Amino acid sequence: MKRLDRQSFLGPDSEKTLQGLTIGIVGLGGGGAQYAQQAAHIGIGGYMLVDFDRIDLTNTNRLVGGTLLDVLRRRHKTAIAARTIRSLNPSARIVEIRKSWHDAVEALKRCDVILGAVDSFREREQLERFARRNLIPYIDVGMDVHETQDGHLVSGQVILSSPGHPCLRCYGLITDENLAGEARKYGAAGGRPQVVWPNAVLASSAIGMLMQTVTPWHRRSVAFAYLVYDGNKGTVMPSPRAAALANRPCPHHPADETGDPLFDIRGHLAVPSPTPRAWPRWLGWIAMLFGR
Amino acid sequence: MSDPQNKLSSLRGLHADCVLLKEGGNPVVLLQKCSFRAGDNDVVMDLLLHPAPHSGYTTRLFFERPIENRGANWNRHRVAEREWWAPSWQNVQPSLPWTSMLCAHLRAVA
Amino acid sequence: MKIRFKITGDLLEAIRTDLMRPHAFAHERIGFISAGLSSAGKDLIALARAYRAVSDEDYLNDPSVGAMMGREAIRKALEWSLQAGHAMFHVHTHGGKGIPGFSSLDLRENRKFVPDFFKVSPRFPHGALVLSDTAACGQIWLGRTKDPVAIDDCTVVGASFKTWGRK
Repeated sequence: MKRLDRQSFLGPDSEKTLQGLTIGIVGLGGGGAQYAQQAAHIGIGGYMLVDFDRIDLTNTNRLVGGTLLDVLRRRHKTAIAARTIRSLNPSARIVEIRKSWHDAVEALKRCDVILGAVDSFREREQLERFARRNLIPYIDVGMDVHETQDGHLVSGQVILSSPGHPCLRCYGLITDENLAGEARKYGAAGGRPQVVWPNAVLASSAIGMLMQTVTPWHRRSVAFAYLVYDGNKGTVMPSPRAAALANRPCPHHPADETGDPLFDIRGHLAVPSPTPRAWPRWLGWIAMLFGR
Repeated sequence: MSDPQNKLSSLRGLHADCVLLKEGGNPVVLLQKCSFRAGDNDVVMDLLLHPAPHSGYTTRLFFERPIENRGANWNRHRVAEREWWAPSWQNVQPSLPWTSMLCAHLRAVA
Repeated sequence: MKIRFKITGDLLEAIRTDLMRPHAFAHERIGFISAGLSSAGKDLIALARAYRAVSDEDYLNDPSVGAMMGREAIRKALEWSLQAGHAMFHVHTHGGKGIPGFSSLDLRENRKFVPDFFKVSPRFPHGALVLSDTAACGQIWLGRTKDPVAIDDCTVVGASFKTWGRK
């Protein structure tokens, strides 16, 4: 009996496909931690985990895998995710990048899919644009809690943004108005309400979208998707906007903008490879002592 | 000659080393090793002029690195596959000629 | 250095459909894929942008080969590369299933014209792709006077994600 036997309906090559896949997870808070946990369970083999932050007490209401001991030890969120992944897949290929995603682009370019769990519209837009320029499918999730006359509305969305297909702007998630609203606050997302169960619903839906793309289990192909979550009604439904955009190319990410506009192969070939690190002599003696 | 090319020609009157790029279908201009005044200092760095709405601003000028004690609320951005910084500086209108637009944005760090 | 080629499923499908169209005398059809380039460390990633078929009238009638393009076809491709700033990849299909390979004729002919793209677009590498009905492989020149190297893997993104050649 093998660990992934119960998901054999995903296809005879699914285990190999998933093990060979590399995903980037940008943001290892409430949403990102859920991505990492589910991806580890399902057998995805490669991870670029990107987050500069450490866990704090207020994260523990939703950061799956995070413990109070992690808070005491001020553990990095990437380390928590890496621990969760390794507990299920000891041979997982994990790169932790404890920086902003802006400092992780070289690693993210190697990803087959990027899953975003970032806080701001500005970061979403730029991360998506980076993914589009590098022909990497991008899956974005977000949740919010709004005050209403009846109390509060818990809502959210999951969007699969594939090159050539509708983007976050096409769907109306990113607009100049909401970017301007953010700019007025100088980009600070602030301590918005965040709870575990919408994160779980949204991340699960996102992983489902990812799985249908890489190990499809039904014939209806999904190049792009926009699911809307209503936490008060308990529904996750396709947005009617997605159907309306079905055959319209995305005007916000023209196909001729893939790649680095200033790329020069001559410069690329001229950059020397990093020289192997010279280990200090005493370390070599110690290695000899232990027969390595 | 297209409209961006015309505008680029005018900008080259201010700074010769300009390259026209594209981001999201909009023209953006890379000014390589542009020299300008920031407070009491002469600064030389790459700039990227974005003459259309970006990140909630009507137009933007991106800097290779933030300038200490000049400008406010510097934030990081990825534009045209490169990392940039921009201070908060609003209401430089896209209708301006690019030469005026550049000068208006440089007032943020003057 | 690892070299990858990435293309959207929609573009690849459109290319396959075009390459399957019959021609008045050529047994195969050919075209060009434009691409942008990116680097990840020392590795290169070619990112397909668009496709242009070689026009019907730009084929030469040579029964000894599957398809032979004339000078006008190459001139148009050179012009496209120069004006829009693209890397260029010649493409044709061998049909069938599985990972295809270039024939010795393909390899010989590619050597004759692919390096010429460096005269108009020296900033980019250029190359060639061959398709089957289910996969793709390619070769790439990193400089005009350099020998071509194999593209390590080809990846399709979109409704389904597939990669060929990855180890």
